[in-house]
Amino acid sequence: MSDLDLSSVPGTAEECKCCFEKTNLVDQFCQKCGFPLKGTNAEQQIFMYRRSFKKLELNGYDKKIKSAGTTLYVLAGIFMLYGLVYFFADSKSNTASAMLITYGLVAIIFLLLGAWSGKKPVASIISGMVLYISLQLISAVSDPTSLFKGIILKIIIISYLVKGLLSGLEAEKIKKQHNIE
Amino acid sequence: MKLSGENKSIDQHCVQCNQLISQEARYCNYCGTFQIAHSVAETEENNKIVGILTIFFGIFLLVCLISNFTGFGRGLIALFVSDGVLSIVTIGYAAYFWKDLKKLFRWTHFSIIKFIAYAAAASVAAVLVNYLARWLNKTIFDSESYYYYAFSHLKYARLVTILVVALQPAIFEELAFRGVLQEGLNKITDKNQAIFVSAFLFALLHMSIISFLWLLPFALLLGYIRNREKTIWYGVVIHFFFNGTACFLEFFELNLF
Repeated sequence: MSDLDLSSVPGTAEECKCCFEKTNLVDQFCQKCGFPLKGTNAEQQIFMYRRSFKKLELNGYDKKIKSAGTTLYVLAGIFMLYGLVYFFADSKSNTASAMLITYGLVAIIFLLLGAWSGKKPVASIISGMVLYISLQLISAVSDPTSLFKGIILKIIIISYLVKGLLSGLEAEKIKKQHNIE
Repeated sequence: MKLSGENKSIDQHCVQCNQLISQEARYCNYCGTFQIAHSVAETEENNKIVGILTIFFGIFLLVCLISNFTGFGRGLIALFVSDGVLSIVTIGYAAYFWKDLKKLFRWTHFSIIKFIAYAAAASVAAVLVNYLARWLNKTIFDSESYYYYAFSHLKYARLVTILVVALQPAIFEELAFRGVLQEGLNKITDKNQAIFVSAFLFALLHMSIISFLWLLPFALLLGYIRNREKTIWYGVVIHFFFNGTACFLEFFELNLF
């Protein structure tokens, strides 16, 4: 009987009322969220109150994630504008429509990443940030001085994205820690 | 008698009451204490992984920028040097992450039917993408390019084209992106986000915005298959047949048969 696992015996496993993870009848606390399974009503209510507080804490991170998402939309706008200006300034050139399509595609990628940042902030912000930095580096390879053009705007954009990314990672950590969906 | 939940491994002590608890437990199921030591170790490990992956991608980005946008990247020697550098870096990182990656090198559930199905699907997709890419490049950028011309002066030009364009990327890009990068990202975020980021970076490093249209879905599929099959080998097969078919289409268009 030493290896008997009670979780496999019907009727011995139950669900955590807080995070709905499977628990065992002998557990005093949920292993995933710490809910006092055998606690009094008061203890369980205090736990739920503290958990709600954690969810409120997540709202603070959400603001920074939203700002990063807005930054991605702004980048979409900037690149679309670049494409249009390039196209109308030099519409007779052979490369005008190619540049418009290239900038347009970059703008669409930023737009989609911005739209996705609410659901999957880490993936969308990392991708947007790497795309933006790569585009700056590509431009710097042919003209190194381009790195310093609009440097303040570039720093602002990157700082918003970094803050959003760090908030996204922190929010994921808290969600994992408290088993919050 | 095993009394704790569904987790079978009981190999950590609660930081508060010292009871033996499951390795995966975030809270002690006896006293309810949050296992902070577990969490701190995880955070430190995650920060380390973020740093390591940033350097890994940074090297790739630097090499790709040099080989695509500077004079140093022109010619066969430059191509072999950049491919060689990236292959060595990938092998070095794979060795560093070997403990986590070795499971992906197994092919325990090999199926010849899947092998053929994946290879056939990759070849069909390559034909469609090849014609789409040629049409887009001709219509929008008024340009046409063939991989073969880079090696046409060599004695075994067709074989070298297959080795450099199909085999080398199939092995090393899969190891780098679906191996090192995706495995590292799996540790700091959820599996779907890890697939997306590694696919996005894969598409980005090809240094062509227009090719995002097919490279991103292709890489997303490779990442998904890698997770589903728990091996990188099907990805290597798909990648090889995808690139290999593109090479054969070129040989066909250039009347080299």
